[in-house]
Amino acid sequence: MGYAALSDEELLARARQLSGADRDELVNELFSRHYERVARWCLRFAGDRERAADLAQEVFLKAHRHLDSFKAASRFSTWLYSIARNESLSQLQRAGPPTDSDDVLANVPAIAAGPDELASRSQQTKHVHEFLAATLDQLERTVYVLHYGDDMSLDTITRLLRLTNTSGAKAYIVSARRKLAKAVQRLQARGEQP
Amino acid sequence: MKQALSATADCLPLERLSEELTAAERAHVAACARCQTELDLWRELDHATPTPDEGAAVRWIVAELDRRSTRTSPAPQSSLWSWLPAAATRWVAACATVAIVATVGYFVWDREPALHPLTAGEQTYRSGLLQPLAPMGDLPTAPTALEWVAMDGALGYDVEVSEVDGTPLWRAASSRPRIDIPPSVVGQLKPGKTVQWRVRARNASNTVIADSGTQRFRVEIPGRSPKS
Repeated sequence: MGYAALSDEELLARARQLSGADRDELVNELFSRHYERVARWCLRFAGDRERAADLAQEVFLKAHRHLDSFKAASRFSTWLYSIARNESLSQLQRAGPPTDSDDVLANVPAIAAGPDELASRSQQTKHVHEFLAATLDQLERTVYVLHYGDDMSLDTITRLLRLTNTSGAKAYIVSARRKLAKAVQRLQARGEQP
Repeated sequence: MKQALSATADCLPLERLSEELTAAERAHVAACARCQTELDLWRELDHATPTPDEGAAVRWIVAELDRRSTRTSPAPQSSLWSWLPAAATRWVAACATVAIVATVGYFVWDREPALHPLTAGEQTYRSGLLQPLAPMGDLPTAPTALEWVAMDGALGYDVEVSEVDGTPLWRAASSRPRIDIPPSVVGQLKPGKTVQWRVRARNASNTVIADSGTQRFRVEIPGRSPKS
């Protein structure tokens, strides 16, 4: 049967009208369209193909379980990506925080305010977001949020963002912290709080 | 620090971030490191091309997914179960047994009063009962018809195609669960432009009895297919 002309959402709508093997055929067709993309994400996230295959299987298992909750308010690929992202981060949280933060800190000169101090001063998450967005460039900001906000290891971030520089995400964390320190100093000199 | 970098109540869910944003949403994203980060990650997954060094590993994972899904099943079975590892299947079966016993026990020993049945003339309006079929999502070419699942009790359907801001492009009525889009409207469905549509079912009293809700589609820009 030719499904190529159908979008993901149309394919799913037709699957919902069916049952049994007919439904399974369409659902499998829908999932297989995204195997490669999810596999690529999982490989970059996990770092090796065996763990990536396990992660990808979990992603599609969850998608299958919750397929009826997809309401077509967004693209199916976006919905599936949300599952992949959340499942990946859940695995990360179960594994504990990354161990490479101290290594990064050791390579950064003393600064007036570290991330923790900065956060505690800011009080409001919204202000932290605005401060980061205004101070850092795109890659620095993304690396910083993933590392400190989502506990992603620098190796994982390097793979996910396909960073090709020698030290990968580490270089962006270092430059981000330097910029933030200078920005905090400027604000303090003006008598303002970041 | 982790909490300070988490999403706020103003942050947009990913399904919004990946769509066309309103001016207010764009202003929020421009000032929000969390939303910008989510958007960057999403773009990495949605648009990034595979690197040469990961091609073989990705192919192996895809083959492994195929193998684990249905093709190693010794007997025909629903893919829902084929996705579950054997141990998980046993757990599900055990949980289902406990649930059945508990449910039967509940109804036998602690039965609730029955709900009053609907009387003649009472009507229920349940949005979403009208199931749309097409068009939805990203399409290789502009659609030429709208299609949905026929509904019992519906004598006619009202359809509306509009811009994402609600500006109507076309309205029509149909007695069947399908209607052709006039060429003049098809011509307005430009690649990259998101368009929405909606269909409502009416009964013999001309009362709306079901609504598909807003459905969106977009004609892909040639050479920029997200499926690549």
